[in-house]
Amino acid sequence: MKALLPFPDFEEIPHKADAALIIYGLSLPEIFSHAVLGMYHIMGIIDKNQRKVEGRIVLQASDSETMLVTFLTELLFLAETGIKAEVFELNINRNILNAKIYKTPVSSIAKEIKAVTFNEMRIIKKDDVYQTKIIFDI
Amino acid sequence: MIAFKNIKKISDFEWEIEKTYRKGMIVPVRVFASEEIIKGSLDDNSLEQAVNSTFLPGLRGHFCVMPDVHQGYGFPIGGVAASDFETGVITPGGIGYDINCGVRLLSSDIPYDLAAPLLEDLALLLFQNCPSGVGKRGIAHLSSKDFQNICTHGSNWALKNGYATPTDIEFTEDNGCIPGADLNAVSPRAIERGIAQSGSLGSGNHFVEVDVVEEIFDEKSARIMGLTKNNLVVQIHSGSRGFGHQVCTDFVREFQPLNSKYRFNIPDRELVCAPIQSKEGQKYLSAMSCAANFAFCNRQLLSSVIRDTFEEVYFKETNKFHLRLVYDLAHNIGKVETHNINGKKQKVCVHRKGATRAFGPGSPEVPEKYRQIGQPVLIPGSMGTASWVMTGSETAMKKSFGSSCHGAGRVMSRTQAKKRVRGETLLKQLMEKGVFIRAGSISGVAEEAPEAYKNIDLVVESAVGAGLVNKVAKLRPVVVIKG
Repeated sequence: MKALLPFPDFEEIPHKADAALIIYGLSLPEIFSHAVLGMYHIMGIIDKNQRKVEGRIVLQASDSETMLVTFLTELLFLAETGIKAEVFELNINRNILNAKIYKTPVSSIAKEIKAVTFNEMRIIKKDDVYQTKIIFDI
Repeated sequence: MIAFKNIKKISDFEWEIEKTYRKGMIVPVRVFASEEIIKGSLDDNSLEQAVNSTFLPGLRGHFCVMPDVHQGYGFPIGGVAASDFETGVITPGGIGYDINCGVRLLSSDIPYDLAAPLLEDLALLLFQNCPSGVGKRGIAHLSSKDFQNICTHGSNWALKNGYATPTDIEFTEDNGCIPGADLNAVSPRAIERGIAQSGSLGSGNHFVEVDVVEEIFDEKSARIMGLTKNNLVVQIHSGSRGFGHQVCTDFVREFQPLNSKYRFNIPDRELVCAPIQSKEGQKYLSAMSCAANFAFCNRQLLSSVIRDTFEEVYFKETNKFHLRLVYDLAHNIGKVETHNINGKKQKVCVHRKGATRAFGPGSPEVPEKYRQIGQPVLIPGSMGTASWVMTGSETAMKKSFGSSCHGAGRVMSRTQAKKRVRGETLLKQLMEKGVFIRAGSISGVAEEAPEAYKNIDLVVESAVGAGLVNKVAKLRPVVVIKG
């Protein structure tokens, strides 16, 4: 079904100094999952294809944008410690995010992302599709 | 979007976006650049970001834009703003994630002709000895106590532990230590990231570069700095690594509710800020100082490794292999300084994001050795192109809170650069020009291609034309190490 959707999970858009993505999703949790894929795409992260270990990320934030920045920042830190996360379930309820992940060891990372920024980030719903821009400091 | 017609010409290298351009601007924007550079900057959001930044409460004078300007997030890169120390704000987004990213220059008495046959070996060993690349661990294995001391005492920790000389401390901005650092203001996550990375270069546009002094424009200043034509010098460009990134990330998030708490009207969430005198502002200043001190020490540790590498490679050729620190400066930082604004001395917090302090002659903050000529200002070019050594000026003190540009400034996105330039081809071309490059990633080399940046000579001409700096020497690269 996914392949039939008229938009990609994310697309990279030009940014003169850093990296920028537009993320699309049919729901708020899907925006979060697709943002992870987009961020890993920019990082060029490759895992070791070893046995996956189940884990969980739970966090609270005052609004969706802060939650997205915080969630991606958490995954950036995990990557720095040598762990790539595959999100297999993600729920957002009353400003609390609960993500179930598979953790695999990182084999290599091509590009360092210094930070996930709030610059121009605004999660909106347009024609039943959620979208937001994310700018990463490279 | 800002159009060229919205920018008023003051002189060939000085332009203004007036306060009336948008309701809510507290100060005007002053751009120090040639017409060509200004027109080029209109193809991205950099001047819009400069206008957004003028909404910060308590700004004084004008928001300065340097000729290496390009789009960032929050502030543009090449942005300088001064906020009143008593009534103004501090914004982490006006300092950046890589707190105290900066450059240092080391000079030598090694002539290029003597060094040339061993430059390839030097490149390999520097690449081996300087930890570089994504998330790489640093050369120093620190205890928690060591880390706390680095955050509090900066480069003085390196002096105490045999990684620095007293003159290294003397010729580092703020003597390598910003007072007021308090590790209690820093998150455990930031500390965890910092301990692992002390003494590492990082990736992206960070580098170690060996250059030759190609041309001298000011004999007296060059002599005082120890720069001799045709001798080798070394530049190190790095910052506070994951430690600084985490400190900034933590505070941009922590400050998000402050826009409504203090009833600020800030147009970009990345520009969230706190009154300097509030507990939130003071906490950020303490944490930022920790990261700044970490960065001073980081560049010092890298210097120590580079000195050892020079000795290893050149001790048979010469006994003058020692590298002397000319100067170490920050170009992403917030500093409490006193400036003469509208004829009145005012204590302000100067935010420099992608901008270098460029204090003029006579400034007490400048080491005594340089006080007569002005602070050394280091402006590295893009990979494989020239870099410049300058001095700060009296005009910079009057016009730009004693600030100048910090580099070339991008004109092309990384994606565009990779489409247009093949990393392997570029490496070959630079090798043919006598530049040995060792890099962790070929695509990273393509992203940093010279055509992705402005022509450094034109940027420098703008800064000189505006009177912010004076030329001392031009450097030509011969070895480049990148993460």
